[in-house]
Amino acid sequence: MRTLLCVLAVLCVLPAQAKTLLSAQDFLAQQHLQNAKVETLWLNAEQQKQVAGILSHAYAGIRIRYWQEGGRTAFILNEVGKELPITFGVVVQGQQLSAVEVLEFRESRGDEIKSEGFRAQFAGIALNAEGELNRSVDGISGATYSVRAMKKIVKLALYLQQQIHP
Amino acid sequence: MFKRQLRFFLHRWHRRLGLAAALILVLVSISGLMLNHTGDFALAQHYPQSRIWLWPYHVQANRGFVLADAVVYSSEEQVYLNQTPLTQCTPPVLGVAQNAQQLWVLCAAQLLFLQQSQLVENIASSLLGDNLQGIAQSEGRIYLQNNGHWQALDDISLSLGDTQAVAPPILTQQILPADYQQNRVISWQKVIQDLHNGRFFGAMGVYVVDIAALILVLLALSGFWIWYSRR
Repeated sequence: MRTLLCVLAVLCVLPAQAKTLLSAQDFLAQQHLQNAKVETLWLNAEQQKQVAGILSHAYAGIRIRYWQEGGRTAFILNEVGKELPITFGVVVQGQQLSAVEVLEFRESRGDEIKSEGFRAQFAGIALNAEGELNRSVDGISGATYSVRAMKKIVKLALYLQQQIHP
Repeated sequence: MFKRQLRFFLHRWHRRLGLAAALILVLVSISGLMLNHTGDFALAQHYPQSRIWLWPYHVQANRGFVLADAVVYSSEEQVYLNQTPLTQCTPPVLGVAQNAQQLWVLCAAQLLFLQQSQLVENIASSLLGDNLQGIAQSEGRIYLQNNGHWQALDDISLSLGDTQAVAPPILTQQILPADYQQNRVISWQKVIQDLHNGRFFGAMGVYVVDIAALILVLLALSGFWIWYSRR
């Protein structure tokens, strides 16, 4: 019984192991933002409401850290895919998305979103007047929740950029 | 004559086997019905608390950090502050430090910052160091143990300062008070699944359920033969 429980416990834990694809420091270095100024955005009540609308749930925290240099802003944000949080690194230039990377993936499936081909769809994407992404993004079958999480985070980063640089 | 003898023999054993398997069949049927409606009953989201249901699992006592006015612990990738879920956090919780109204919780991949019990920020710990192992407070400053060295945290620039010669005092995990010993690991779904397949009763339980299943097959065959031979 104990052996069985141990095997079951290992099987349950294995898929939940975090897979670090890129450390936050390496992401900033990759984006040439390692020496960028670290700033914080404190979310007011209205912004918290808007952020909750984008994520479909309240944001865990009221302060968001960002790195800024030469008109480019980087955010490191988490969003739950199906059950576990995925850590994303996002860079916004002006009001358009410049780069999105998956830094840490903890789910057992759906990590196809890390592929360059999929992420390339987000290059240059922006928010329209309704606050939605201004172009559609093709999904990946079997990675629906992860794709949804990435779209939410891209939307959130673009919204935050609007708040920092209206 | 032979047919009659066989029918009499099957009739007698049909009753005996039916009686022998009855209790297990009732258990397997009820648990099977419940598992068929796992979502309706939200079995995966509810947890038994009685030792009657938890004895086979050897559930460990919950451990966490006990502060003057707060208790911090984690369960199933969720961090709790005084039984209130804060946020998801990659286990294990490596340490907790309190500085006046500020509370810092270091998980394997995140550093959580709380002020007056409200979660302010969730910081990726890889921004601060590649191997954070602990957190402590000393003389109003927060220190992080990075690669074995204690360094002061500058939370404005998100950087670590010079290495400290003397290690600051750290809080260690302890067994939490009775109020915090609620089971949040073994769900009703797990218990009912194990009742259904017999694992709840150990390795023998599985064989008992196997035998009950074979008896059910025999009951079907003997029942059919008794009916058929009377035609």
